Amino acid sequence: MKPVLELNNISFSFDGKKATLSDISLHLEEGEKVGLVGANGAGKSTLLWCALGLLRAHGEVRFFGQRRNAESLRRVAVVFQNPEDQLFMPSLLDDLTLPLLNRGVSRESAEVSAHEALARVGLDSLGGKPARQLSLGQRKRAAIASALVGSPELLFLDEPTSELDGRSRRELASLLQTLNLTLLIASHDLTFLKNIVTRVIALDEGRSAGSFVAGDFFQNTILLKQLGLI
Amino acid sequence: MNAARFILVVALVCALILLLVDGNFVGLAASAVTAFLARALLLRDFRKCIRHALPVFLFCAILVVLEFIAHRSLSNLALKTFVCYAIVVLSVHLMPWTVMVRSVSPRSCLFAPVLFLLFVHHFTAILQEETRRSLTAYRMAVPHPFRRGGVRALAFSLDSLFCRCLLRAERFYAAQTLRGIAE
Repeated sequence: MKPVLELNNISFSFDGKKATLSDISLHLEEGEKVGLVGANGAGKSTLLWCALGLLRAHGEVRFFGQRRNAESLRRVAVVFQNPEDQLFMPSLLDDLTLPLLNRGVSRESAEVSAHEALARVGLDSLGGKPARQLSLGQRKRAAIASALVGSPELLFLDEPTSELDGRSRRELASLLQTLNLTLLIASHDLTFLKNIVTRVIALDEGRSAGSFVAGDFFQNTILLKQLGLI
Repeated sequence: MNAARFILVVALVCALILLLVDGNFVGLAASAVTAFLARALLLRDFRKCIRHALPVFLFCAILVVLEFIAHRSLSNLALKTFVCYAIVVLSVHLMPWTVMVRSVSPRSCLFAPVLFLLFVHHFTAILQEETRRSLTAYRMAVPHPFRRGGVRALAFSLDSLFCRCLLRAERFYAAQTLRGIAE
């Protein structure tokens, strides 16, 4: 198995005094689907932002065996909590083709890739519509399509089920199950994660609470209570 | 049709610049009224158009009052402000955004300004949405805005709006950076 993401001794503080993340290390291997769980304020999103270099943290971040750089980040995609942060063009198709065109891909092949990505998330017929005209569930799927369009090898999802109803959650879960790439999902929605992840990394107040096999973790009610997840 | 709209927008912006330089009162007033009515016709909702213009109109009115207090005379400043608003809003309405985006290649030098305009367009929508949420929450929490605590609550509501907008802007920028667009 090839290492996809290695975080070694990551520490971060917003104000320079109180540590938001303390000495966190984690490793993801190719094809793994991992849940990053923790109560509100545990540091899940902050850890993702630190890994991506959006926040400057102490420690080492390696993607695909090499230090984080522009080239390795091209193989990574992110789905943010709020789909509006990713989708802003006049149509979904434009949203999906933009990063490809920006990288120098021809319009024809960009459109083919965009249609394929939309078809994967079941939104092929809505390519002409702007994201704001879609339901929240559809917007989430569109955000995933915009992440998939660049054929990433590692996909980060930050609170993918926030504000989603039951049906949209189920649809999103079955979509993520079908994806054949490495996933790191930051969420405290255990019901959602149960169906997708094989391993869980738990955070508790900015510290690592350990890495667990998914089945064992979801049955350990004492630990779940300690972590503030139930 | 789209080319005609684009030419019309360019003509409107050029006319605006000429009007501002010339500063003729009648020309400014006529342009403001025409642009305002044209947008009302496009929206097919005169009330909505007035509602949109009300904050700018209030701003202009305050400007007139302050100018009068300071100099005991009036300039065209408030009228120029309103003309800018009316013509820019009309131009934004007329601009064929989708066609414009598709016709500009990401390799062209026009791409960055077009992208910037789209970012502004998108973020204005976010700001509008956040403002609406804040005001709704404020109205529900403070049914009598001029009674005790009303003004203080409004100040805190605006403060929270500002913080939320900053947060949204930060996330938006982060998302675009990761997609390789914002660099």
